[in-house]
Amino acid sequence: MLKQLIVGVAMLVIMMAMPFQYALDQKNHANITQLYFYVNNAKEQAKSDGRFTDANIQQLRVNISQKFGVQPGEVVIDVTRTPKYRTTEFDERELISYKIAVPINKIIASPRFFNISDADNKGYYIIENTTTSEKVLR
Amino acid sequence: MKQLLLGVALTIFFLGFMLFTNHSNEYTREIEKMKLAVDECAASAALYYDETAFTRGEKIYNATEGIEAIEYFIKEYLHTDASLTPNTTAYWEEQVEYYAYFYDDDLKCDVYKDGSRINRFDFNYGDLYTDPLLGYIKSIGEPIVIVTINAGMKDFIFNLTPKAGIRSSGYEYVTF
Repeated sequence: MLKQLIVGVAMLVIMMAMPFQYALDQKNHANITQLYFYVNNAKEQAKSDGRFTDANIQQLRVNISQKFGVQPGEVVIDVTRTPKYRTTEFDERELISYKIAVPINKIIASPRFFNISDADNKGYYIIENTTTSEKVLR
Repeated sequence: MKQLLLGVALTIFFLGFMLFTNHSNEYTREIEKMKLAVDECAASAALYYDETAFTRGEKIYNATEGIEAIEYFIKEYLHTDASLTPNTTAYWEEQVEYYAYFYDDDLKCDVYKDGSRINRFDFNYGDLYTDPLLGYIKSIGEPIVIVTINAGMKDFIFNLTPKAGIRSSGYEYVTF
């Protein structure tokens, strides 16, 4: 009877990691989906402005940090801040580039159970692309 | 022993379930990323037009520059090489194909497939556009660039039905 209890409890402990992991995966997936939404909005604004303005960057940083529950300074935003202009011919030099890296602080839900350290249980999700500018040179 | 067997069976079931949900989530993200890619292709291709015609109030797209922009952004967003074959970091596995329709104010439409013009026809505003891959129908009321990208099929886990990667977007100039 005691043996059955021990085996039963052990299996229960092992299996508890599964629903926790499922819940964490869904949360990270929802956050990343929302991240694309925020970045795309900022990109559309940058397209119109010809660059990423300080206000645009700040709004993006605040949105991401609130959604992911990280400090605003932890969000890495490397974007074109100098004006780019609409051209009559396609020109890669006049593209606006952006690279957004967001820390994912928890990848495995029960890291201790699998002997994974906190340092190994985190990473960055990176979005890196370019877009054309719609700003007209006057 | 009974508890152990039941526990192992449930663990295998949960692992399979999590693999499936992760695979499904990844597909959902990638198909949305593809939508962003095709939006960018259409919006960028529509930036280039004949300035002389524009001074007459007509929007005649420069399809040559538009095609260059479309292929650049397919390469960039979908991680392909110059021949639009996915590279090792790409999610999609098959060669990417695309259609681009340039509906101009001179009531002529140029149709491109994978960079080559395959058709040119006359149209009138109010005519219907039928997408060659998705089959949706849209009324043409303004000059518009419509791009449809097909990244092929993606195998799904556990040999489930493969999912297609096809998205379409149009960018038009609306007159008020």
